[in-house]
Amino acid sequence: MKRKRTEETSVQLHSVPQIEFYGREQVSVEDCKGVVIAEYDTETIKLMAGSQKIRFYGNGLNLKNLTPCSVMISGKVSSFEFEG
Amino acid sequence: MRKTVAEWGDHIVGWRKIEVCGFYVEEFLNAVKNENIEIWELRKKDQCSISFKVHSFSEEKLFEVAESRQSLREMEVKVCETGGLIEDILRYKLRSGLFVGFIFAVVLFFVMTSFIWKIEITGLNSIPEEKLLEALAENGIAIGALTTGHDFQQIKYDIIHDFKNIAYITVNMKGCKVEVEVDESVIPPEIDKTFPCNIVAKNDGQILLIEAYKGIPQVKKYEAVRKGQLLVGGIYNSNVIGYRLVHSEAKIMARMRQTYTEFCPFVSLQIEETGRTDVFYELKIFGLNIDLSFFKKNNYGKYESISEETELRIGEDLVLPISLVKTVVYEQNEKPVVHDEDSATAYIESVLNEKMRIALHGIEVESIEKRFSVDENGVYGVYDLTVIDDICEVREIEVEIKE
Repeated sequence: MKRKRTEETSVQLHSVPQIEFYGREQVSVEDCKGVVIAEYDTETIKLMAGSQKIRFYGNGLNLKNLTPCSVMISGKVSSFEFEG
Repeated sequence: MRKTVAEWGDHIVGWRKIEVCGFYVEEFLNAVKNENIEIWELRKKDQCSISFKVHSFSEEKLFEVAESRQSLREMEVKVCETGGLIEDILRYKLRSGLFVGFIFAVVLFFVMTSFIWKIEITGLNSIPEEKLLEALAENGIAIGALTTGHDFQQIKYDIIHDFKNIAYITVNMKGCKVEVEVDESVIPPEIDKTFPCNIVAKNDGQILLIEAYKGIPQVKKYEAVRKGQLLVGGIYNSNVIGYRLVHSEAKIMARMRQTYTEFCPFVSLQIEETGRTDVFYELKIFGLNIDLSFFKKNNYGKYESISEETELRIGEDLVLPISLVKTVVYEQNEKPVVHDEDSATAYIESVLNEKMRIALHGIEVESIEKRFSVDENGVYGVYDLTVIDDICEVREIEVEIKE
């Protein structure tokens, strides 16, 4: 029973995007195969990962790189929040 | 701006700068992401337009994405810039001279590195370098020869055979440079004991020790002798077979006088540097000198110059026949130096001591008498020495054959 629960937990962890902050100038969102860009603006970038929404606020925000598995956000990030 | 390895990789593969205008920018980006197309350097120009870069091999797929949905078909997608290695080459496609020049440079590089441009020899003591270079040249190792087709083992055997005092030699080719390492052996001197000779005195002196191994001694211990006097005779008179000639050998030690003199004027000219220097450059290509200091001339009346040659090389072993010669010229002038009696005497003493140190190495000195005399021009120094040394001088007996 215990082993099954651990396996379920590890599967859950790997299916969510990993967010890494490099100071406040750069944010890397990895493992985002199913992530959709909902909003893209110089002051707000909104990503949707399933039912979960991640919103980044700041100035001069830019999608620096966009690959099938990762998104790199650059600019001056002032805050971010999870919705849903 | 320095490029990262990834940027160089993108440039070699080729890239396109794409501009997208429309209302559904986010939808377009999501569609690009879902099609596994990688984009970078995104810039949002305004609310409805963005630009980004994409690899050239993804361009076609990108336009397919733009045509895939009704909403995306309303977007304006255009290529505004291209770049990459292929584009760079095609940009200069009509400049055939550039292409030919590049090919020529590559060929020239490979041709130049196929020749020997330097021979480095280490370990030589008694053998002149020119002789060894001559022997190497006879075996095909010389400046300007090809680097391939040499049997180094045979060359080593030939050189050891030609030079009796080479114990060991290694010859290695490194790029355009040949490294030769030599180990010399010590050969005992050959003494010719076949010709008949006398032993005479090389200087005036008093005999202190006489040991005649061959020949007839003509002087005794404590006897005073003159320069050239016969000490050991090589003509042996045998009552049985008559006269015969021998090669005289003896050890004869004698007390002799030696004199060393030196003069120091009260006023002399000494050369010293003024501190001013000038630099001249010369380019050496295949032994031809090209003066790079076109309008510069050496205006110093009296000077000393030191030259330094730097060879053009790629790495340690690829030496090319091009070198830069830097000559630094130091201006000098003559400064009068005034000596008084004491400083002149000190100068004479230092010079004579040095002369004695070199000439009397290993010789016993019995006494030294130092004398100094002064006149209006300067100081004279005389060292009279009494030394004990070998007084022998071999003199060949000339035989006249009468027919």
